[in-house]
Amino acid sequence: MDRRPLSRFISLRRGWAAPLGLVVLIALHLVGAVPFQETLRTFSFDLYQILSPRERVSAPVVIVDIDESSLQSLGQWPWPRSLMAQLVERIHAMEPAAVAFDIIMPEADRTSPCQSAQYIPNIDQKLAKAICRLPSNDTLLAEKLKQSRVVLGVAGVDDGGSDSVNAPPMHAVGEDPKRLLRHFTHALTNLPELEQAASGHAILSADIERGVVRRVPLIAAIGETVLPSLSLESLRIASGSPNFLVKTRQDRVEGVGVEGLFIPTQEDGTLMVHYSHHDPARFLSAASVLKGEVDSDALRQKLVLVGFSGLGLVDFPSTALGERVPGVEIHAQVMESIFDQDTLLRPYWSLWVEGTAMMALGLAILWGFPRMKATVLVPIVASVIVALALTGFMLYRYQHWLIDVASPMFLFVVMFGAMLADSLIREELQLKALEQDLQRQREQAAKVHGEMEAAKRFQMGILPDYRETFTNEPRLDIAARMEPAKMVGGDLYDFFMLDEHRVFFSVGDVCGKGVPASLFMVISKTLCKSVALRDDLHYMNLGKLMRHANQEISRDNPEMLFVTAFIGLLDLRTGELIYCNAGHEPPLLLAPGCRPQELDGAGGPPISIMDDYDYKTHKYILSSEEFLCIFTDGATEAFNPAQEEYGKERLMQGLDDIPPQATSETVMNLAWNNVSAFTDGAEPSDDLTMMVIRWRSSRT
Amino acid sequence: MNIQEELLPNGVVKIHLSGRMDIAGVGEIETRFAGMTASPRMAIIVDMSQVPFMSSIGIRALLINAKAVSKRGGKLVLLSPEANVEKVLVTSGIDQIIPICHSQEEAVGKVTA
Repeated sequence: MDRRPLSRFISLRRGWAAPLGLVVLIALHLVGAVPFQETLRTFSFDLYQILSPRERVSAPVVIVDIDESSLQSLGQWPWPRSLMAQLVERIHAMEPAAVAFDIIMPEADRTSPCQSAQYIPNIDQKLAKAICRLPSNDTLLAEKLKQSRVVLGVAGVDDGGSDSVNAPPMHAVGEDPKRLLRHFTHALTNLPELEQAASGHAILSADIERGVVRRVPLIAAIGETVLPSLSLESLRIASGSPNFLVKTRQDRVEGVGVEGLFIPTQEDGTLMVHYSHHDPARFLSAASVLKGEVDSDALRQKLVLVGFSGLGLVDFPSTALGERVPGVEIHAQVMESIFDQDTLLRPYWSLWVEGTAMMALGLAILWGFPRMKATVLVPIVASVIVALALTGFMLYRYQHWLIDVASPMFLFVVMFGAMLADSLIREELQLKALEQDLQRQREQAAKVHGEMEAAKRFQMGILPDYRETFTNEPRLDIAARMEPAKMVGGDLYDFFMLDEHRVFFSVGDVCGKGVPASLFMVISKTLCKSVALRDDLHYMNLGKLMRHANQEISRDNPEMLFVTAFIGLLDLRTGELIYCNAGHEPPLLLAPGCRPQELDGAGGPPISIMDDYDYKTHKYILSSEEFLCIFTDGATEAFNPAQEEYGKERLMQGLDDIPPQATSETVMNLAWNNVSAFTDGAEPSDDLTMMVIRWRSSRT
Repeated sequence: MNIQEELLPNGVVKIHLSGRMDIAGVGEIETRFAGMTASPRMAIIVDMSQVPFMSSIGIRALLINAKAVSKRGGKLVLLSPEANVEKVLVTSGIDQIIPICHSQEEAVGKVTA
């Protein structure tokens, strides 16, 4: 089956899937629909604050704290409003810039004289009326509020409560901000008497995300009214500003302010709270203030917040630093950060910057991953992660911008991980395929090897064994051996009795080695023998035999292989040797005590080169001491590991002094071992064949 | 092994062989050698002076090309082989099929005759 179109389709899909996924992810990021992204972002912003919390530079805010000791010394909450009136009076006397109540007083004080009188059984009616003419505790507090610059707060609720609230005048620049703001339908308000007495009106609500206050509204809407937060309103009162400012632009709130002060906010008018650590120095116990135990300058020109920390009275929300603090301290911290101009801002363009960073990093990894080596890629990935983290932190630290680098970083790491996993899986599959391939190749090689072994057995099998062939012929001493350079070889030798007294022998060498040479060797040996047996050799014309063999072998030779051959016929009665040489190395004549000599006799070209050639026949009479040593170029052209050639000189030197008791076999082994010692384990360059023949006279 | 072609006057092509003519060496030049001798009626001189070693496979390569040239009506001679290479050529009787010359004049004379 042709798998190319399918694999092309898959690779096309693979090629587009990742960039397409990236675009979808960034679109989801821009609309804020990436799952868990907000959690990740919040975590990273909290981490910035934990690593580098805001420093409390100036201390414009003091919290008059209705704490545990105040409750113990002045009684349980709710305190009579007359006591609260005293507290306001005391605070006022210390000349604060503004006083803000983080307390809502929606119901009338039941400890006022008139209400208390009703609970006295059998009270004289006159007395009761007289008591009821006394001003109520609420009235007392309202009077004190009127004398001071006090901000009262309301809580935004979505059912019940009042739908009209008092609010300071708003100066809106741009469009009407109401629809952009955190919106409540109703409010839990203070007694109208108190509301009217207050100089400022504010909203106290803050959103708590899983127990942590990370952002507070600086302005919010209740019904149709826009109200400033406690902090903004306190600043307005302190600055003497007649109204508060809200600036909107292109469907978002840019910021809020009072005279001489502008605070950039998020697009819904909220402020990301920049926290410092909890500091007890912000707190003054209400009891100490009432008892006049504090320094008279302690509240001068300060923004005073009146609130609770007494356990059981309030919940303790957490800050971004992970500290649980009374809610009033969060208001104080907001005021501090505004006062020190150390507020945080997540700019409206952050999403686009983050989206661009995600796109750039995503594309970079898609492009870079397949092109880079792991040794380059891993340090780059690590550097990018560190650079992102540092950039985010530096922007927070020095610009007070909250830019989400966690999302691009997460995307980058996830994409890197995914591509790593993908490449690992692919590599594993590839490895598996390679292993299977290797296994197949091994099996195939084993099969071929088995066949080659069989071929070798066959080839060696058609060479006669000198130890068996002439056991009953004392007139002949012969040894021969062939060793192919590869599994099978192109050398050949043969010997057989042509008749009762004559032995025919041949040594040949097909050009090349390996399988083609071995096939040619088998053909040549077979044809040579059949020609020898067929031809009438009565006239001892070996040249003619060689010519016939040449004609036969040349006939079918498409690969143009050729074979050098030395053939001989030895008459065992006389030692007469007739021989013919077709391009073969001249054999050596050896005798104890004599130097080796070449057997003379001009030859012709190797068999199968010329279709028709008249080879010459030569004659030599062997003595019974002489050995005829025939060899192939595997001996003379053997190489040692230093690539030196053995050569004919060394071969002759090695056979210089053969012992008197030598046999053909010992002479052959001597020559063979000399060659082996020289090559010293180097891979043989060619097949090696040696044959040694000695005529043994029957007279000796 | 390396093989280079040089065009002499009278249309004689001189092929320079250099390197050992063993199985590996011949494998490197076989195809180009055959390509250089593929045209009809060529007069080719093969310069053997840079060939230090000749194996039977090298002889075969020379023979194949000499036969191919001869079949197409051309002539091929060997020029100035080293002594040991010439000995191999003479021993194997190749010199009776491919003439061996010892000077360029002699070689040019033989192939253009």
